[in-house]
Amino acid sequence: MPTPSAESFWPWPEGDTAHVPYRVFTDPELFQREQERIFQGPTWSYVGLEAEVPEEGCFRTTHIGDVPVILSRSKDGQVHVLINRCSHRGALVLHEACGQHKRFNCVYHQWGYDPDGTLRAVPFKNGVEGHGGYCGVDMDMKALSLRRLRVEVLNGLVFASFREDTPPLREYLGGVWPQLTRVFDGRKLQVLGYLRQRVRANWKLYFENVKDPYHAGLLHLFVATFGLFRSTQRGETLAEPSGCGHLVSYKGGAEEHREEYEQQGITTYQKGYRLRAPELMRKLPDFRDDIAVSIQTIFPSLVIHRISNSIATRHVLPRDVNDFDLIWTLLGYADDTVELRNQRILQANLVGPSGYISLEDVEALEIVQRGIQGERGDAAFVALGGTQVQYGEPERDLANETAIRGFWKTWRTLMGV
Amino acid sequence: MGDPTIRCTVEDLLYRYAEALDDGELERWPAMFLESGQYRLIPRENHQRGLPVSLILCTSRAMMEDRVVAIRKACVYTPHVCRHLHTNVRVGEVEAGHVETRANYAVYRTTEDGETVLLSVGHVEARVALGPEPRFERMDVVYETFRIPGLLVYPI
Ligand code: FES
Ligand SMILES: [Fe+2]
Repeated sequence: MPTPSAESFWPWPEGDTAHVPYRVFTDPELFQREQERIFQGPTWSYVGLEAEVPEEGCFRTTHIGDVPVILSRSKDGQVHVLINRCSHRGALVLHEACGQHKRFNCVYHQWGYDPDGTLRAVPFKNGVEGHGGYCGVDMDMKALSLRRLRVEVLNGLVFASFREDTPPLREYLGGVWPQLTRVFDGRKLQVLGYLRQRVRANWKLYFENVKDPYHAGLLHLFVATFGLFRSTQRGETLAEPSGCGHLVSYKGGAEEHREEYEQQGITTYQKGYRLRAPELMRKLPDFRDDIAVSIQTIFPSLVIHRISNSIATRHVLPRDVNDFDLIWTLLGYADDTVELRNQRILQANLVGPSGYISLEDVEALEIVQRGIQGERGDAAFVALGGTQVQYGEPERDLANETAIRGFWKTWRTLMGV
Repeated sequence: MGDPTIRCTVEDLLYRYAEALDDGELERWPAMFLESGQYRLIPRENHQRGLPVSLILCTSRAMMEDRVVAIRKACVYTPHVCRHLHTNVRVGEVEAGHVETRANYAVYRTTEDGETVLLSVGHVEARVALGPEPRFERMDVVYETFRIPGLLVYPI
């Protein structure tokens, strides 16, 4: 006799904010729909940093969802985001990861484009000795330029959108703006390096993870024991209707106790264990505030962190329903002192695919993806702190899943699910 | 061309190093470095472009010992073992009891279900302090598998 099946949450009951059916992480058809409704929908996707394309003709290739794109800088100093698909017969116009060319030439038949996407050169346009070519063909060079996406640049961060009706970036970010512009405050950025990993999990699990204060003190033993993040700490989460949000935790105690607090954090990270090289956790003066950890998410492709002196963008690139790439771009400011720069480099040990406080996240995501295989309408239970969804108003404790519920409401609205 | 005896010494050190990691005897790893030794695991793309960030950076043996304790006590990951293959070992001229060396490597990772994947491939550039007990003064592991499959827990 078959065992009675559990209640099915798929189709997802209207108005149910306490459950997230696992189908959303496993269904290839939903993944296809996300391409159109989310990545090519009314959203702002992160593409790269202005600092990565410093001069005319500099470019980087990346993706928005499954669409290949180019981030480039033209002669007039503007940055552009172009679809990396030749107007002739579809080849990638640029197939290198990054570089610098005055003219972007497609290797297949040498059509040449300016760095702003304008089509400039078509070999044998007028045929050979009066034969062939495009004579007599109504060829609109302008219409054959590379498709240029709408772009907004926020203090060095470049975002693009496929749609004209996406709200302006500032409005899209909502309450995330103030925290984001503390780190991206207009100072000249310096890329210190890249770390990359391929995660065997659905990309949305990552967005849940960075909106989840519940796991932070429980999964990450290293931070918990160092006092970088404790579940009892003061902090807040915020969700915006656009899917953006933040998670901030404050250092315990008043400013004058801070040093003492840090000293204690350094001496032990598990009872009986001392860090033999405490310089790793030393935090040099950086921002004038009381924040221990600050994480911003800009849906659907970017996470930004500030953890001690480490600053980075984390670019989330879905590959298919079961896989995404995570690219960490570790940053400093061009005017950092040598000491501060070195501390940022040293604290790269905390983050990335071997990071003391980030390797577990990927582990957790991968075991969720494995755990939900074979689901038949089962769902995650996300009712920590209630079932309410709250936009624009922070939740001021760290034992809730409110931001996760907000995220799913956004996703459902965009997807029409 | 390096001296074959020196090359033997360096190969032996490198193989013992690999053996410690392959046998899961992480605690033996820091001891293969000088007290002031440095270890860096660097993605090839950063190395090539002169970008300073490493995946793992230990500026002293103490920092390596911290890494070992953290892996044992404070990190959460699916159990697995690693297997190092070192080849193309070359040594330079001995200068004041030190020698520069270079070798290629591949590391495979095997999980508890018996699945093996290629975790990392690249090369090692190291400076070895010779003597009755040779140790690494500096080791740079440059990995070209720079899109890491999942996590990388153990040093290479
Ligand atoms: S496909 Fe690009 S020139 Fe033909
Ligand atoms: Fe986490």
